[in-house]
Amino acid sequence: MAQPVMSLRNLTRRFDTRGGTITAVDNVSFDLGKGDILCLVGESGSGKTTVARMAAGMLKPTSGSVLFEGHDINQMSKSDFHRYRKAVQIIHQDPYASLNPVHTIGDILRAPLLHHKLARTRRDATLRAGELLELVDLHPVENFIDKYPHQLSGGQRQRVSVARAMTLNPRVIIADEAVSMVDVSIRVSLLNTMLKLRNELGVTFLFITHDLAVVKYFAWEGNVGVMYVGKLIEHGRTPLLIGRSLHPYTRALAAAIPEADPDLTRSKEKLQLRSLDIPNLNNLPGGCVFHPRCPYWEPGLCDTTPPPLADVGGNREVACHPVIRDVRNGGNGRNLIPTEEKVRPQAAD
Amino acid sequence: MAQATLNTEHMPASSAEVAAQVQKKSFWRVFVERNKAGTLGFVILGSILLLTFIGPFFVSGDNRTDVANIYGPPSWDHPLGFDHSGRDLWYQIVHGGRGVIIVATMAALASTFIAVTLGALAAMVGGRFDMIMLTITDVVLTVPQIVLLGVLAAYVRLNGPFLLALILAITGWPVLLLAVRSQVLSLKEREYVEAARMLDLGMPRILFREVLPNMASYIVINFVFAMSGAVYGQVILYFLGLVSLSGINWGLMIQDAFRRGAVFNADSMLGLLAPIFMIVMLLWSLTLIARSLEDIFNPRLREV
Amino acid sequence: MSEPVKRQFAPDARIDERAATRGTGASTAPTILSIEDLWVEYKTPHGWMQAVRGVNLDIRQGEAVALIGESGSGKSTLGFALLRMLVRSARVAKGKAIYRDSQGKIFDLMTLDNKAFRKFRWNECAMTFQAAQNSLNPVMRVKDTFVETARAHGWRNRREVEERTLELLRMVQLDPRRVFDAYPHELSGGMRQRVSIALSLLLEPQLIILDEPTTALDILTQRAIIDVIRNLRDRLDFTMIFISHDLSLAAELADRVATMYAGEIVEYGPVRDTFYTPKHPYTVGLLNAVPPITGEEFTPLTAIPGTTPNLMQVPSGCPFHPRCPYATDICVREDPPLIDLGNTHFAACHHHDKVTKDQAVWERMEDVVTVQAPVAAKV
Repeated sequence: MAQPVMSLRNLTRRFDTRGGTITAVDNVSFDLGKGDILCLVGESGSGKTTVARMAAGMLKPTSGSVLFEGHDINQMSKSDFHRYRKAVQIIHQDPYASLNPVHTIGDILRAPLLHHKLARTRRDATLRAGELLELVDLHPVENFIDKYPHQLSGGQRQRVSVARAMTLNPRVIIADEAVSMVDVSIRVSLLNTMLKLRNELGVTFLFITHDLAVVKYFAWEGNVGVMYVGKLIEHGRTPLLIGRSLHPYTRALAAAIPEADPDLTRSKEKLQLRSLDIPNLNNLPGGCVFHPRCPYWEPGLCDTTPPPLADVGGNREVACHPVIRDVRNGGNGRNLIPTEEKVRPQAAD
Repeated sequence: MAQATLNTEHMPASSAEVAAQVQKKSFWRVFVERNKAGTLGFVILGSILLLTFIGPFFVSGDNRTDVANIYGPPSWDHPLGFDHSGRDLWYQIVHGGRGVIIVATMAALASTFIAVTLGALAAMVGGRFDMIMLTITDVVLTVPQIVLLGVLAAYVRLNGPFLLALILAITGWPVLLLAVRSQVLSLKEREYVEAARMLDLGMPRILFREVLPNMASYIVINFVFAMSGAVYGQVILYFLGLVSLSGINWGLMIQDAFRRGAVFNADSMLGLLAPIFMIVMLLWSLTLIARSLEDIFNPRLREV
Repeated sequence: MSEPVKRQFAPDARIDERAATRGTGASTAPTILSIEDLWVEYKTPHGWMQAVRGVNLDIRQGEAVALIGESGSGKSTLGFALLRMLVRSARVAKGKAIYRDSQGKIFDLMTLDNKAFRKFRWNECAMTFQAAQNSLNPVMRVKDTFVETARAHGWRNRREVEERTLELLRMVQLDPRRVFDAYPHELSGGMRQRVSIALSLLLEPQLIILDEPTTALDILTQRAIIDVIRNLRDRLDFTMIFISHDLSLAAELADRVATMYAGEIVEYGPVRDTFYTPKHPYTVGLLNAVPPITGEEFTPLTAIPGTTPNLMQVPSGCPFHPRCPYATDICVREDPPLIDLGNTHFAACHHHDKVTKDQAVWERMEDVVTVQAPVAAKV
């Protein structure tokens, strides 16, 4: 297998807070090859954004490493680091905060081109900026290049952010909730534009989102990693992971999402969790972090031993004792026995 | 509350009409409509500048003492009358503002420059440099400004406008520095600044092209406030008699009139009130302008 | 002021009956709110901007109506206008909102005097806001918030109010022992959202307006809120208007769906008709842009070309025509009214008879680039 463009190795990040030290990201590892798409999915507090910031080099890991083309970015030579810096770009969530309001679109795109000598003159830079706007489907270019950000709509600004990220011909784009603030009607075409960058230019995407529906569309040919309070709990090819999720948390997420189809959504089978509360990062439960909410947990196992992220075949990894056992016993990992008989369910909350 | 009447004058017939309306209004018209106070400030400041910079070419006369005119009443040729030495007050008002304004501008420029450079650097560089800057600022801040002015003025012979401006600047920068520093710290976290860091654009570009332009209004507003501070400072220095007493100057006029007991002497009231009035108008116009500057720097308004 | 009349929970048989007619358009209940040609506008530096442009909407008792639209569609403005909670720079330029109260009295909400309107708010109609989870008074315990709200509306028997509060908290699936004495900051966002929903029900209003009830909440919390609202509707007899950008939420909760675009209602109909046989191209476009989660096959999506219009420069004729694959000359000239398609389904489209959920027609369309002129301050 070719060397991955970027690898995260046992990445851990702790923060000191007033309530003590919290582990925002706990031992997360994955590889990203050329043209790969990996979506990190999780709710608030899952640590997905912290992973993104570490991968982008904006935050140093407490332990573990981010490897770019095989080299640890926090131990690189200065020149290697500058190369990495240019090769990995971020697209932020908020189209209203990510463009400097005092510069025109042209200035925003020309600045990196001129600074890094990718264009020799201002004219060259303008031409290249025009190409970039074409690339992100903002045409005719002359309608945009001299505009200020506030003159564009949210979706158009987000396209400019993509174009800016593309100025230095990056190998990896980290998109942090890049479409979640964009209106539904425009979201699809923005996703299509990003897919085009991947398909035609081989750009690798690390896509952070809370929206499984967006994941299903964007990462159909890629992978999904599901995070829960700092841990990667399930990882696999998108179609299977969403269609036949294994980890009870992923199953609960997929079941909870309403569908834009009245009959389907009202008859959808729900997975009832034992509690709605996401555990406090200051005081994580022992054993599997999900067991206080899990309808399938096994007393004596799940509350004492943290499950490993185990390979269950078909390029899938799951961190769940009952699932792993079911698969090892020849099951499909989805026939779990509810704990109900042993433990009386508590009222929600 | 809700009005239930149809207001047809605001219901354009077509979108093209709206577009036309949108394009028609000039920036200044929008500004004047929205910002009456700011407009008033500009008008007052404009008149004062006209009076003090252009006025001296037209108001001729001299500043000689003339015993025949001591406390002479106002007349057509001498609208404000004469002071205790028989000098023309109108002449003094017209000729005595330039110095005050020039010194205030220089002082404000200097203190803004010091504050912006050091404050922005402290915020961008951080670490030890930031700590040292903060300590120095705190020390300067804890010393009462008037006392510091007094002591400095007592040791330094203040006979030129540059020196006076410098002394005022030295006491004026710390507050602004803290303000600039905290503003840069917050702007530094903006997503577009992070994007610039991701693009490896380098610290100078990030500071001067990404961060500072977004503070332009803030800096100018603070510059204007620094100017009013410097006007105050000058008046205090003159009033305490810490600046060499020569030339024509509003501060001097106040000090002079006050020393002669203008408060108790109805005849010399104008001699005291006229320069105070000018200084109050100057400070007021600066305050009005400072408050309205936000609108000028708002690109939404500027664009129209 | 008299104490609110205690409304009984519906017996189980009625729950089934209501559930059976839900979303079919078969409701024959009387209309309790009738919005007639409502215009709301905001003052901007460049003149007045119409955010709601001639909305007509009838809401029958007991129905759940979803107002669906993207940013700038005017859906929230409409909700705020009904409760006369518009910001200072906004005004209702024209129109009526005829309301029939629980005693059968009929009045126009837009011209009601302030005193009568205060009575209407909370007693007749309550609203929970977007990010309601942050709108509870942080220095008041949950129970005191309830007691104070009741007292402000003349219900002074503290014990009764507390009993009612406990009952409501149980109904929104909260543990009353834990929540009753808590301060808002001790509760999670989802719990606070449920507290504010319970609070809106305190005075047993006929009509509840929910503004983006699940936005900014985590998925599992959203699910809990949806289940709570559904459960409340089964047990209490209230009419509900909820405002959302999320079509799936409408599919879950609504009996009827009103799609808003550029300040107009472009489609209004029973939920199943709207989702399965939409007759306005914009509704179709929205549906084609939302991917389903269920199923192991890939669902191709199509985008609506162009962008939502600047409300200072709404296109002539049908406001959707620049983005519409069905548009012809007449769409540029005439803004179509809501056309009755039978079964209480309405669509404002000249070509409603040609509109289907077919995606190919969208893909053939060349991407329309709408260039915006300077946009007025976002309101």
